[in-house]
Amino acid sequence: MADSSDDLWLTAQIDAAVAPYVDRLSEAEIAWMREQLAEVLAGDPRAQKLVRRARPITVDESGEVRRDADGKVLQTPLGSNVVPLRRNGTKAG
Amino acid sequence: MLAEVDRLREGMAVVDAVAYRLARRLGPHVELEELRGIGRLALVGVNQSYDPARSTFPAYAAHKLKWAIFDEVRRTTHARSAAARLSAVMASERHLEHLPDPDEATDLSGEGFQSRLTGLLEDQAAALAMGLSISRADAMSASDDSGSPEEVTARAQVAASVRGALSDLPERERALVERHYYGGEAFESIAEDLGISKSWASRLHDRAIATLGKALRDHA
Repeated sequence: MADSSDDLWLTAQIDAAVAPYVDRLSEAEIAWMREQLAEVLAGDPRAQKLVRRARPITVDESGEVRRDADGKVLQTPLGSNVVPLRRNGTKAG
Repeated sequence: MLAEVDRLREGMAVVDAVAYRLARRLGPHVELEELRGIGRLALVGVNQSYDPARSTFPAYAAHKLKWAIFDEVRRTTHARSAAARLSAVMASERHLEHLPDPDEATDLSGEGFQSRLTGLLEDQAAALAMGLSISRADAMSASDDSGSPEEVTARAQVAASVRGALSDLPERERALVERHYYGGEAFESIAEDLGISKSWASRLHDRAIATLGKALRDHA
């Protein structure tokens, strides 16, 4: 079963969807429902894409962007639509 | 003949992939090997009914094998809890089939995708809640995990809410959901009986889930 517990944003999306049922189903059923929703988002290719597109843009705490020797970005937030910029404001990567 | 042999070889990989995914979704109620076995048996018929003009073999086989496995597991699942979870996963998978490809939504912004994700999760939660609330006529009610008196009462309330919301659905949507999930009839035969294509029946199913979900959320 997919584990989204270390992804706070994704967990919040799932919690919101499950919220209307929390007082109406057993704890075990709610936990199972959460697992199922996480599995849907992790296991269906179109749902995976949707998560990547919907995920808000995040920036590293320091604002630092790691680049290789040619200036290419080594790491960007998964699925974000951030366009990394060089210091002079031109597009990089 | 060679093409058929090649397809069967290709189909075995599809069987493994479908069985693995369904085993993850259905959890400890089923064994991966059992699902693989059902899939392998179904593959022969899937291969024979394949029409190359309509789709690729892996896509066709994945779809047909998934529902062949679900139908067989459903036929042999009688404990209330397992039957309810199976119905929930089936409703979820049926709803997922029409999820649009985000790559084709070139005009959507990040907010648009967020809204679409919220809608997907709301509908999926509704599909799961509906499935969990269903007690099929052939499911045992007393011998497995019925839960505490509070849980039984809560489940009965959800079941009553689902039943109430179902009765407000347009006739064909209601018939489709009731006959498939409560009556255990095959989706294709209900569609045929209603005089609609399976594809259109799937769309009615999605609409029914969305309407049920809204009703359940409104009465939370």
